[in-house]
Amino acid sequence: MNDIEDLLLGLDAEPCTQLTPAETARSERLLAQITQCAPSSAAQYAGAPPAAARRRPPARFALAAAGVAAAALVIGMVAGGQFLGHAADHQTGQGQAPSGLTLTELADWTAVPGHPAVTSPVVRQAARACLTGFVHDAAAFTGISDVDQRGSVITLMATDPASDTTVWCISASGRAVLAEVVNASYLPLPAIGTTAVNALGSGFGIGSGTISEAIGQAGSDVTGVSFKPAGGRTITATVQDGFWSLWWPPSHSNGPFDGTVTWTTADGASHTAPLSSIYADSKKPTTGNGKPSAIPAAG
Amino acid sequence: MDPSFTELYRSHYSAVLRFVRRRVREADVDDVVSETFLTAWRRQDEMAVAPLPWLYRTARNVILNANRAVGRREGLVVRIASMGGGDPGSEDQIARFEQRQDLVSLWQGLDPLDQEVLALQIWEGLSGQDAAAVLGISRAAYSMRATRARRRLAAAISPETSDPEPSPAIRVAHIDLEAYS
Repeated sequence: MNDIEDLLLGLDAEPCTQLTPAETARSERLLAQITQCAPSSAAQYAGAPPAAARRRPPARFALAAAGVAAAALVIGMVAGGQFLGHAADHQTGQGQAPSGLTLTELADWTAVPGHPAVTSPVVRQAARACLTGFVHDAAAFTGISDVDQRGSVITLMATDPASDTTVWCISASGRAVLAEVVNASYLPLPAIGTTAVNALGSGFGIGSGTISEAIGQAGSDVTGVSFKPAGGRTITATVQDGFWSLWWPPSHSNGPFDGTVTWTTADGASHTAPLSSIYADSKKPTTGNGKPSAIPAAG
Repeated sequence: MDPSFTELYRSHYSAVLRFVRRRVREADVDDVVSETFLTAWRRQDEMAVAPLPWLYRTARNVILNANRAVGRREGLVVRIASMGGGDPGSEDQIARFEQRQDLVSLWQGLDPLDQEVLALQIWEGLSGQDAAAVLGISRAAYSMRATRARRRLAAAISPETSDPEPSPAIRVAHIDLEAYS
């Protein structure tokens, strides 16, 4: 600690002290009031930072309806904090659209993804950017899976096996753009049938420069997933280790906020359902089915 | 009551309260803290690993939005402790006291974002990465800003320290100090 910091420490207007009994009582009253409310409709709270983790359908659609660009949402810290704010940084960067991606990166998007190896330099760079930019303890996230490349944009899932936390992240040109929590102790994955799919989260961007995305679980017999946004063409999802994920730019489809999910199973059957009908109920008991296996990033 | 949220709330309430008190007048503190934790309750899925920076960022946005709503356009100012008027004592203590007085004046002349950059690291005790996340800027931008802000303050209170790019606020502070020496 240098002299300036030492001096400033002594000038803290609110040095660390124990809460007074009155403050403690007030904080407990507030806690009781807050937890009486149903945790829904985040869109009512304009004070919150741009958010990425949108798992409950009402909140997701509320966000879309409020005009919040899907990709403008960040956790940062887990940043979700954990994931805090880095996308916000990129939103204002030169040439970058509200999503945090440049217009060139959006224009290079493809409906069918590539799947570079987790050990390839481009994936290592993307994983490093995501973990450095979005998670608090980057070294803990040793599993990288569900790598999806559309143009120069990489999405992937990173898992901390110890805390059983998985985040889905977008990176482009070595930048961390967006992250969402897919699995965490307070949001356990629901059980899913071997031939079923569900949606864990989605976000729909509105307007130029935004992006939209959808993420879900896929049963062990699911061999492929695609999504056709309302008013758009079919997008092939990346499916691996019990998850499916995809994203698309507004030039492909810019609302309304639904579409059709089609999935194929090992027996050759094809199934379809509206996205809005397959949202997972996070209250269901978890079985562990559908969680990603950890692929060592350094492997 | 959700046990995980309750634990998070009780762990961080005090820190968030201090964060808010450093930045708003006392009459507004409870409103900002309430809205911050209400947002946290409704967005628990965004606070997977490190909730405190998320809470700080949310509180900061609540304050900035409130300021915008009443037409305030200036940045968010971080309060610094005022200096007491007692007898500082020995010569060393007098020198230290004067340094602190200078620092208070200089702090008040700093750009609000520079204040925030320093406060998050020194008073909120965040790492550079977390502080950058709170402000929504890159780590590199945060580090550069923090270094410059420290250098400006150091140059102003330590004449032997050079400041290659003193800000207008610091230049004014130099003049003021000379006028009273």
